[in-house]
Amino acid sequence: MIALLVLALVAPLAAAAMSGVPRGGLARASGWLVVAACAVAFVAIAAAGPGVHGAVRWLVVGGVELTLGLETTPLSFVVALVVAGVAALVIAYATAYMREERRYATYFVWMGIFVGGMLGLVLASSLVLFVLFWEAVGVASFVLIGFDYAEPRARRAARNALLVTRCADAGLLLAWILAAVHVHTTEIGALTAAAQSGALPATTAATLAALLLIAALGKSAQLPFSIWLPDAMVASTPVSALLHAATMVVAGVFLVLRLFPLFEAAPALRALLAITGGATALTAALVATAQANFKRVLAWSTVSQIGEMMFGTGLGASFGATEHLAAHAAFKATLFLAAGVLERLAATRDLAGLQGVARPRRWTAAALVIGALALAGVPPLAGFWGEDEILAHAAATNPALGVLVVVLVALGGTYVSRAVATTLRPPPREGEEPLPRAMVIPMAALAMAALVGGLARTPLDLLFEATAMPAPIGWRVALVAAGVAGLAWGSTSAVLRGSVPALGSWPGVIERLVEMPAFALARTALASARIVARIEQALDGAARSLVAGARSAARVVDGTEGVLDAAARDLAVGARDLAALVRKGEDRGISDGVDAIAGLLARGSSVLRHAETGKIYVYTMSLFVWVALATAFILVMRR
Amino acid sequence: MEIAPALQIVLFAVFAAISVLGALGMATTMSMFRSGVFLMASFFGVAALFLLLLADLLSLLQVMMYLGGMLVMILFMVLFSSDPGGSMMAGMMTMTRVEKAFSRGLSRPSPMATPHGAGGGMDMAAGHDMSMTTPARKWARHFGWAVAVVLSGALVLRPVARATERALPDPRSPERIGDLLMGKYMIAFEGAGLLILLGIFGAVLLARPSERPDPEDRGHLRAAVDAPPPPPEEG
Amino acid sequence: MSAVPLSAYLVVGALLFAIGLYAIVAQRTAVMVLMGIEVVLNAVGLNMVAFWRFLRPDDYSAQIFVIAIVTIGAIEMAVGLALMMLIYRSQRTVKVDDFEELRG
Repeated sequence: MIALLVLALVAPLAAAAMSGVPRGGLARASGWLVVAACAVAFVAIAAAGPGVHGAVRWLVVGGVELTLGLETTPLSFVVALVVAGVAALVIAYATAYMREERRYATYFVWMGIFVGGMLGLVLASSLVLFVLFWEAVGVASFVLIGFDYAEPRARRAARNALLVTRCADAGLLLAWILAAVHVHTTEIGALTAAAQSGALPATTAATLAALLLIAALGKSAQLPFSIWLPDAMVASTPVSALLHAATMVVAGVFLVLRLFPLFEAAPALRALLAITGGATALTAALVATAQANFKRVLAWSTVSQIGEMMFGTGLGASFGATEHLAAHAAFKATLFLAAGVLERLAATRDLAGLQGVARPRRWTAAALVIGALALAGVPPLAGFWGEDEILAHAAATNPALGVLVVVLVALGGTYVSRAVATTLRPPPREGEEPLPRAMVIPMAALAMAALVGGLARTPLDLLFEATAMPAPIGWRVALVAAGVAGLAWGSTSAVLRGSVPALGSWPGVIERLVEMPAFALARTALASARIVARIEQALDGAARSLVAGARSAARVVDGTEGVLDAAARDLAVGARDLAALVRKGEDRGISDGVDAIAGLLARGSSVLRHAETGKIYVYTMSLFVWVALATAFILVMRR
Repeated sequence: MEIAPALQIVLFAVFAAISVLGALGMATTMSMFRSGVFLMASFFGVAALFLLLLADLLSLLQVMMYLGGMLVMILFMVLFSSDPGGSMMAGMMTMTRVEKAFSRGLSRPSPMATPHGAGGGMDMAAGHDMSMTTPARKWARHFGWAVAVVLSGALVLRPVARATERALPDPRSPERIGDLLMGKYMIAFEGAGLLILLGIFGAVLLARPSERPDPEDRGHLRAAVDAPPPPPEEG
Repeated sequence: MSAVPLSAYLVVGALLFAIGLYAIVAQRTAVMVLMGIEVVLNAVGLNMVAFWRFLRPDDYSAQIFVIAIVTIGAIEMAVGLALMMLIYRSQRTVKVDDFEELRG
């Protein structure tokens, strides 16, 4: 069983490694190789089923046991299947989308690495592996965002994404060490058990929850870390679809869901989670209505939807958040793939330029419509059920929160229908070439998943053993009505007024407000750097005056030196005369004597040289004689 | 299994004689090839003595390594030298009785025969210096006799008194030796293996053909050795 | 019980040693010198085995020592013959008393 999980983890990584090797014609196959690996991973995880756990102890250091292992809790089982499935479809799409890319094989190498890392993150049962793969997907995201490194915007976006997520990752790095020290092992199951049973002191749980919250917020581009995701839309569409909609950005939500018992043990942090989630969701939804670029709409939509998931988790609707995670992956990926198709057809991402592009294309239009309906939470499509659950918990906690959810759904409908309706708006633009099959089929498959995904609800129910709490009928009707109303508003706005922001341009201001904290931080750093430069100049001047003083002192010393010099010269003349005297004496007496000794040695050596005849038998003979004499001597002595 | 004492003594005498006579023949015969064969006989004798001493493994090793290995090597080298058969040498020299005994049948002594070793190592025969021995032969002979007489005399006059037989050696001695080799003396064992490897490398490396052509004769080398040393430098 | 006393074996060893010694010093070709060395090693080995048999028959370290002697003798002979071949190639002689380039 555990071997299947290992296979699922290793297959994409192996495909990535193998893709990097071939050159030329074989490189074209690298994309399908990674797709096949994702399919293999999907099948392996499905075959392994939930409830597999295999961990091995790696090191014991300082009282903490470091483990390595994989497991499938119900949560990670579902998320892993979602990751593998969406990855397979999106990468299949990418094989056609990236056809003109020069570094084709490299792209899929990094895609493979990303999928492997993401699956590892989801399937990890040990904090060591979790953190490792968290970082790995961060690196893969950086590379893939900045894949077209000649473009300065891409470089900047990649750098910003990495920096922001790195700052937030500090939370995770601190948290895992703290957790390992307290629980004495790195198994996540042990940590959650300790939190649930109350074995962790309250302050520790709160600290851990806070640190993990920071990390989750960063990775999932929630406030205040939101600025990197919209800028990351400069990446290619498959990357946006896979990383920044369906899988990586939900890693933050996954983290929170996995370690939810920690949040349960620290109610203050749980409330904070809900607050940040809700605030982000609302802000992002508003900003999304004012975007002029199709992918940016989808980016802010992603931020908003994840905020909703965090909000729901904070209120206790873990099951609903999970459902919504899976559904979101399906419909958001559909929308992104469709956006890629539109970009292919119209060579632009701006809504103004995309008017009417989708109208003559049956499959693309259908995908767009289905995705939009799912996002707006129209039953019985996939998006409805998760939002229903979240609404139920929200309304049960506080009616105002229920209203918030309804408003969010309305806004969701607005921005998505504005975008989609623009593309469907007459007059239709006739397209030239047919779309490649590899792009249409995955898109259609994901749209189908978004359409009928709601049917998976019952098996999921059984899997999680969760009691689904459907919302009271009144709230439900309000939800659906809000969704439909939003859809209507947005589409009419798009059709009648073109690509003008649906609610006016004031949400754009909010966007700038969101970016401000990051700019403030940068400005402070710049100002402090200038101050440091000024201090350095001051120190420089001080050093220089010191040097000038030293130089004048040296001149004084020079003068005294001249006097001493003359005295020494007189001394030297006297010593030289003495030496001449000594040498005369030495010549007579000493050197003659030494010469005599040297002569004696030379004569002696020439006599001894005759013993070195160079003949081996002489040496051998003398050796034996010598040994015999020595033996006899010893024997006599011992007597 | 016990051998009868009389048989033991007889066997000992026979094989001891083979060993000593074989070694003597090796040292004195005029023919290098015969030397090799006599050495083979001496090895056989010693191997049989090992068997008498109940060191079975060692006697087998003696046969395999010395006879199967080294002796073959020696014979190869002998065949590379000039006059391995020794007939030319035997014809040119007059030999002592011992040497004549071991060099029987090589060739007839010719009228040009000079006493062996008389020329101080430069036994010239038809312009070639031709001798089996070095000029130190006289000394070696005396010394060898002295050593043999002194040691044998010491052993005969004062036999080793502390020799006691506590027990018969284990008939499963090879297993014991194997245990020791693999256990207590593992380092020595491995070291010997390493040494053999180095020896093989060294031998092969040394015997490679060189890039420079070999000189035809020793004349120039001789001249360089005999030339007076250069005057010492000034300063 | 062995009918042959220890001294007998030691005498044989001593004789072999003396003969080998003569061969080393008196023989002219390098191959013969090596043969003499082998005889001396044989004598030493015989002594060792004789002492083992009569004094310490339960400790087999002596036999291992003899194995080591034989091994090292073989190596030394191999390298010696290789050296001899090399010298022959450059000096065109194998007679020991011609190798006197190291004369002082």
